[in-house]
Amino acid sequence: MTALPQRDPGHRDSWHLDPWRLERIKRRLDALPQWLGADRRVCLAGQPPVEDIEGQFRLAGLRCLLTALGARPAPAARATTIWLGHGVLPVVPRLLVWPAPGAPARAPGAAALPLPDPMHALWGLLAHHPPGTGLLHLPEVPDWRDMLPLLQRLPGRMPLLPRLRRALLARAQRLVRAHAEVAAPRVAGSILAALLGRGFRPTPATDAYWGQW
Amino acid sequence: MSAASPALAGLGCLVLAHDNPAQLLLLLGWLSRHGAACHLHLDPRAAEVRGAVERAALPGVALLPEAASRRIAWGGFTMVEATLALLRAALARPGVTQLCLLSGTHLPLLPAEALAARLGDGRNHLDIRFACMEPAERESLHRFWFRGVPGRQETQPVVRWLNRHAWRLGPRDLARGLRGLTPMVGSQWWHLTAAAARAMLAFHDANPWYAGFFRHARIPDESFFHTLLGAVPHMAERGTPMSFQCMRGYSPAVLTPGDLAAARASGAAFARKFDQRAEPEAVRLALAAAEADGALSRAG
Repeated sequence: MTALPQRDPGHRDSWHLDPWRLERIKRRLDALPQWLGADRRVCLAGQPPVEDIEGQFRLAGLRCLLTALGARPAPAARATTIWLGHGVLPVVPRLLVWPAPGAPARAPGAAALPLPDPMHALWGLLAHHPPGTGLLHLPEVPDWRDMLPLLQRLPGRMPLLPRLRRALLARAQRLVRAHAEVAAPRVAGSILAALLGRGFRPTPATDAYWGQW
Repeated sequence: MSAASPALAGLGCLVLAHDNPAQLLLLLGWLSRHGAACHLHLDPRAAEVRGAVERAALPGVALLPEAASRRIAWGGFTMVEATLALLRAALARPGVTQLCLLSGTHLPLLPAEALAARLGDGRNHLDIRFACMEPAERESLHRFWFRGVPGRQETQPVVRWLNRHAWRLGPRDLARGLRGLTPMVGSQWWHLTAAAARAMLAFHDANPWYAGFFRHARIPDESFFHTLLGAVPHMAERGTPMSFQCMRGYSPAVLTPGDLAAARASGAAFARKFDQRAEPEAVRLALAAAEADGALSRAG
């Protein structure tokens, strides 16, 4: 277990993480192949809904990680299924459970992967830009529709086109970057803030997560 | 000081040069006297410098053959290729434990024994930063960069225009292009342990896509080796940067005697740019300090 993040004297209530620590956490994800099997065929299940923007970043991180590892998509029957924590736990031959950090366990009998959140794979890929001003309050429930008007114009639960997904994530990044710090009720929000070089307000859940990694 | 001191035995110096042979020979002469092995890359257009180095016939200085040398274009990938060629030559020499990339305008800031002690602590001494934290318009790898005719980049208006407007193509997909590596940037001049350099070269040779990505990166010599170091397990062993330079505007300035105090205070082992033609006194003072014995240096 590593030390908790240091308090930044310039931001009395927010935590700023050392970038080299974020790099070390990202490198822990290099251990994923040992769970994927030699053929590295992967099926993603339990994907987050469109309005869960932190969830979309988790998905983007996981896709980035799988691309880096040379993993290929395949039907669940012939692949390792990674369940991201939404919907019903699938019944498949090989299952890896990787729910959102700090989320309650919804997979009785299946242990979560002992790895940091896949969102960390995005570390170093998202430009920081100079910090904006003020505090951004992220939503308490995983629904960004009030914060990103584009989401309100999207039809229900249709699958997102990659171009549209990139546009959504770009708008979410611009929103976070326009602020100096983030109040994130959920752990995934604190990871997003850290990836974009912004401080975040600590909570018991973030304490536990960052203390673990 | 002993003229045949082996203080720098085990240090392989990779030197990139293209002009000012008198200045270059000062550096090579000092390194050679103190036992460092030097590997020199000269631009094929620098025939005068090649002749001067060959006539000097300094011991321990290996000149890369002209056929293996690259025509260097500022900000182009040929700089990386020249450095890789030097790296391979240096690692092939038995007994090398650490490597330093220098320009022909570098000079030492410390006596040989002190320099060996500073660089020989088992760490990699280089300026290394996360690209994501740098201003997007300066060191971002998100932008495409198109090569011009080698050596003609500055004089080709069309290529200059293309690169100025390349952002309209949208950002490069770094996740796919770098396959999970974290893009790093920093000064071109570095010091690496031989173990780190071997691991980096092995990764480079096993992954041809890596060089392919940087062929379309802007000023790749300031990111290629830094990102590569991040790909091997030696990243954690980092020390203070080994090279000092004084930026004026967008370019490193020729050092004057007044800059030497700041150079020494930086903790760097070498500094640039020295130019005997423009600032001979700065060159004389730097070499005098580097030739002083350890006790005198500490007292000073």
